[in-house]
Amino acid sequence: MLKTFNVVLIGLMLLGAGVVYLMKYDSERAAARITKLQHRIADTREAISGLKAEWSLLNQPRRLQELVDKYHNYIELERLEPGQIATIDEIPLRASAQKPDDGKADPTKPARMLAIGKVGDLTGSIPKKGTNEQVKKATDKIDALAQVKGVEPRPNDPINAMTR
Amino acid sequence: MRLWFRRSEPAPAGTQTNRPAHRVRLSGPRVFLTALGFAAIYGLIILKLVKLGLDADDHTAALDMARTQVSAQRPDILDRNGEVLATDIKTSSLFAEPRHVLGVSETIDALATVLPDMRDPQIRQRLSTKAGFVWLKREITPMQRARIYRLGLPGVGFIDENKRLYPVANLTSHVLGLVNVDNQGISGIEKYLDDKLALTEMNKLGVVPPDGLMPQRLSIDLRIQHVVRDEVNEAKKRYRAVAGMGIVLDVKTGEVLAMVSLPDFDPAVPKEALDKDNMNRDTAGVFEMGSVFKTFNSAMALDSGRVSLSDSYETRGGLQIGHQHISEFHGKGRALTVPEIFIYSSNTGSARMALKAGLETQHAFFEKVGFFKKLDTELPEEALPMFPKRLSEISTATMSFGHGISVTPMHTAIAGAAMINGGLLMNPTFFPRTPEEAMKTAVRVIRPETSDKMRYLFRINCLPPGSGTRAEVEGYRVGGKTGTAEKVEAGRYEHDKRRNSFLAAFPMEDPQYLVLVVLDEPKPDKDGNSAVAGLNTAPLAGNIIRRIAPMLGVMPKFDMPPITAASN
Repeated sequence: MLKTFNVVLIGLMLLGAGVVYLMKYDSERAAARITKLQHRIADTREAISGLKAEWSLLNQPRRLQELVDKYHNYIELERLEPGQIATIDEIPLRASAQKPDDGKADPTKPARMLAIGKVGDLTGSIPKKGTNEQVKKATDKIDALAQVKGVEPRPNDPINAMTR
Repeated sequence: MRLWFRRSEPAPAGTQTNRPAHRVRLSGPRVFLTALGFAAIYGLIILKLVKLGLDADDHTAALDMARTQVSAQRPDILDRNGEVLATDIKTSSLFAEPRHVLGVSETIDALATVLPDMRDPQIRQRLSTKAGFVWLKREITPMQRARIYRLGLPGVGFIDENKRLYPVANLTSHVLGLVNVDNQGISGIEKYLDDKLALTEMNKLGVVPPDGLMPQRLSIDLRIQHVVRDEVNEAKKRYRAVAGMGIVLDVKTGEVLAMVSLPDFDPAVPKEALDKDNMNRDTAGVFEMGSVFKTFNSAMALDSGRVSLSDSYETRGGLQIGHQHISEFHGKGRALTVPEIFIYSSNTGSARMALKAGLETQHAFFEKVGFFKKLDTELPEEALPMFPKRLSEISTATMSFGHGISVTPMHTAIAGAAMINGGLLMNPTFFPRTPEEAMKTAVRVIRPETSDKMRYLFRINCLPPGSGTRAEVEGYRVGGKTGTAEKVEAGRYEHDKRRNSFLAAFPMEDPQYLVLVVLDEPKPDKDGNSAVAGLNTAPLAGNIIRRIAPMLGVMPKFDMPPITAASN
């Protein structure tokens, strides 16, 4: 009787040892994985902060302003004037809505809409003065303009040396 | 166990008859000797191990010190919209342990294939010593690091360091300040953060928060900072000024949205910051602000109750006090009302208003708005104003139009904000703050009714025939006060050297933002023009407002009723 009991105990002990060994092995593997992941997180964080730094380097307001000036002939961005800002209520009613009886207006559509034909006048956008010819000329000019210095990050900027 | 016992025990007679008795007797001491020998060997090994353990690795001390000194981690600094103003990037630094270097010449030759400046005799000298640790080169590129690593030189190693990067370069240099090569803040907000977060101490203890440090958000708006710097820079060039300053404040919270002082420096070239000409003039420079002070004089006089908007004062012939004579700059040759004194910037009229209000009233008022003490901001660079120590009629009279008292532009800006925001003086801050938080520490310096009158005076000064007409931006209801101060050189006022300023706010029916610009020694932009504030700093302030108002969400209005004065 006692002998059987002992055999059972030994069996349980062996089983216990086996289970503990497996658990220990698993936990070691998990710990290794955690370390690896932590390293990867740290690396990724570093990469993110590097990219953020690069992003803000490329988005310096001064650089953007220089680019806008440089490619002005092509993209035609102008400074905002106070007269160009309005609220939605200040947008005039559509011409057809004011004269509903001209036969063309669809009474089911909402009356307050942009007068699409005259966007330029309403939003105050820069009037389109360039013909296709002019635009082409402007594009040609860009190659020459691209020589202007001071827009790209300087050669000794630490960002150039950064790992990607 | 039983086997061993049996053997060591003297053999019972009869069982081990084949072994001679004397051999058994002899084996005792032999075993003992052998055991002793082994014990001695193990003892030596243990002793050696202890010794190795005790006198540590000879490089650790110096190296560890270098390791903890260099890699100070700093929080990122962001603007109010989350744009990065300062961040850390990783760089490597090259060091050597001369004791472990095999062959100085060979090492130098090998290093010079990657870094030619390693041929410097100083490097040779450093490597020839028996020091435990020397720096060879700080901040090398990852490419150079990889190439040196591949050389496989003994006694040469790298330490990864954090290097501060300022993506916006000069733009915010005076706000952010600088860090030294060990990444410790030495000026500006960087130094403030060092003190506040105890970065240096933490680094010495080797404590680094696991997730890095939380990014610090400032009240500065990068876009507005850029506009102010761009416009001040243009104006400085156009009017050939020696220096230019620009400040934008939120008048309801005291937040600094932009602070520019030109010339400035590139934080990547720290020695530029040491040049005295590149100092932060906004908080560390004190100047006689000139006629801009008529703002404070009018507020003081109106708030005292002894002067009302409808009073008028004689300006003909100037004002004689003792043997000092105060004369007019743009003389009208007649008596002027209080609003006229303001818009024509009459020195005599202002002096008479100050004298009417009283010497003590003026002194108490200036004390209240903080003109006699240092600013209370986060920046370490703060100058003490200069002011007369004794009350006298002449100093009261000159201080009324901004002479004989020198304050920083930031003093002027924050006091100006108090004049138009309803009368509450706040301390300027470089960190975000809500109006409610600002109210907790705000001090009332003038009554709300007086503030209303100041708004009226500001606004009419930007409409014809006011001196600040050129600052008006269609739709944005600008108000402001010009200042043209003659500079003091060698103890006397120079007539052709001026410091011009313009204190502006918008929109005037409920002011939200204040703009202060200063140009030092502007010259006329073309012959025949004079270099007064109305012709240079006023349009400069107008240009800034034209660009920043849409960014700040101030709606242009074109059908506002004309502003009227609150009754007295």
